[in-house]
Amino acid sequence: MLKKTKNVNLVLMLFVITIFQLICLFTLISKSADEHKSGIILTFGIYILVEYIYFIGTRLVLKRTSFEVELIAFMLTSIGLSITASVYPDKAIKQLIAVLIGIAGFVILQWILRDLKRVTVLRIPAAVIAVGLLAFTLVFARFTNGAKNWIYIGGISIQPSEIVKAIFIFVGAATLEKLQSNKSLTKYILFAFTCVGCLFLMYDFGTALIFFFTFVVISFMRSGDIRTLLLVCTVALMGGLLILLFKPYVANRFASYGHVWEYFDSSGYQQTRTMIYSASGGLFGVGLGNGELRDIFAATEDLVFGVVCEEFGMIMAGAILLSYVALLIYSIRHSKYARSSYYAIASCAAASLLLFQAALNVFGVNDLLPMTGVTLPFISRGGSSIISCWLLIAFIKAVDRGTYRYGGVRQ
Amino acid sequence: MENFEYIMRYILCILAIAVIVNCVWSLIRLRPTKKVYAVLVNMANDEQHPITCYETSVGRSKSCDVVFTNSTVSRSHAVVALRKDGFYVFDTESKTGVHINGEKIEKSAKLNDGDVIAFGTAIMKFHMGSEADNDISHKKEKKILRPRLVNIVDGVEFMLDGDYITIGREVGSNIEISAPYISRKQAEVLFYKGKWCIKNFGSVVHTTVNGEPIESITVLNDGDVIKMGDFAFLYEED
Repeated sequence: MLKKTKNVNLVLMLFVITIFQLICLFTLISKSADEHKSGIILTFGIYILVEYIYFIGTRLVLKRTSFEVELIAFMLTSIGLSITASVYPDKAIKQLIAVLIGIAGFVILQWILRDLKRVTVLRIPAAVIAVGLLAFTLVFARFTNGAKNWIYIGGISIQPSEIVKAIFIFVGAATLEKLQSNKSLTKYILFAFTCVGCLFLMYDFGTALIFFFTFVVISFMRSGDIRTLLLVCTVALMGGLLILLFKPYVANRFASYGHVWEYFDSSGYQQTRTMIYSASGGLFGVGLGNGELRDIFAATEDLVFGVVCEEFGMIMAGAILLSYVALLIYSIRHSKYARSSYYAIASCAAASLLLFQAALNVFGVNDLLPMTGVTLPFISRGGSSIISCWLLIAFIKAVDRGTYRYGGVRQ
Repeated sequence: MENFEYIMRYILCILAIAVIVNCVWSLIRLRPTKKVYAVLVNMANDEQHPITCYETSVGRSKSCDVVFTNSTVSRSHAVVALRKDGFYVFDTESKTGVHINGEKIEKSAKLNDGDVIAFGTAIMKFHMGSEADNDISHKKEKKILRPRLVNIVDGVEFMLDGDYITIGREVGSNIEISAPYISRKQAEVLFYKGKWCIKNFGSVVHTTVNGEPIESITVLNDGDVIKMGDFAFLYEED
């Protein structure tokens, strides 16, 4: 009999998060211009309200007892919202709307995942939608910051590849009887390579790398076939090298990698400033709204980790990274007890994706890896990014046996 | 205001750390308890296989949760899964199929308490929930399904284990009959489509079941008399 530990005290955690949010709100109001104050108050007010509605609803109506995953997601989103409202107070409402859509998507996806028959029926249409979205992006997207991955609809910019991340996992995971019936990965490999290929053609190499990594995780969990995976990885590596050989302008994007300080005032500008200001924040930061990094281009997207280090401190930044690691450890430990292999695979893939994306972002700005322009999950400003993160959390939540109550099992 | 900001830097950090670390610690330490949802009882040897996962693989492969060494069981034979509305068994493209209470399933079928599931020639009884333990211990004294051939003359019993039983004059046959009119391979009793059947190979003396000669594969029922010349066997199932 395994030892059971108590869940966190929801009321206490909610209280602490609310205090955190109110302090951020007060700090932001005191620093912002008059025309932005109401927007910031509205943003935080609605966010706190939605938070309470969610927790009260799931606790009283669905009678759930485990909330750690959601608490971490809400906490990280609060930090992200605070930074967005601090740097771009006029865009706080827009980010909030994206957060609300993300939370709605999280709830809806949890409902979809409840019934594995429903999931099985929706897998093929989802795969078609994923490929369709990427193909649509390839044809109609505009080049923005060196990649062709943004669609503009009526003043709103969407990055479809972010949504496709969740669909990629939705399609890739499988129940045990499906895994045993059909051990071949061919269809999934074709689907994965179509997605990765589209992303390569869009010059969105960061997202392509994330997709490829997620594909490796899912394939390994589905088949355990190391030889096939090694073969696939070797082919992918050779393909990547060929691209670099025949398309030199792709390689130029990584020209400053490994020696950004030599390009202090040119291509290495963002990374060097990030490293300087991250360190200047010390352990507890210089305070919300007091940083210097906020004035640099893409501060709230690619460089947001540096902003967190500077304004909130290294301890907070470390805790954020610890969250991603914890979600992965949780997924791996709980996959043994999950209600289906589908949830186990999806959860591990989603958690791995979040951690890998965070690693690409953090290591990129610190010149440990080439900068790929991927966002820091939950923290970076970006509607598509935050929606994608909340959808991925739904997979991690689904691995918990207590998330869904089955009628056939005596509790 | 400056003092407020100075203090708030530390408080914000402490609050965020309190939430994140608390949740992270709980996530890492929290583990669900193991539960027995059902039990599969091997009818041949009363061996119990508790089902503690929502999806349990059955097969000859060592990576399966319930492993059989029986060659009629495929490497990945079936999956017993607990879904929203109860237990199901899925045939994962096995060679011999999955039979529930003697009927072969198409791809999947719902399981009820007490169902007899045949994975090839491996017969298991399915017991649901925590009642399984009581039910099993109560029924331990009762005889379970154990097909066998009983020599009518001397009462010697030959258990029907494995894939098939050969009857004949040939040395090495499962039931060896030393009579000149019995063929080297007279008959074969085999497990076919979820039931025990008999097939005749005899050329001099024809094998009969209940007096009727066997034309092709004939299904055996409890109490059937199999005769080959002067030798007769009673087919029994408890």
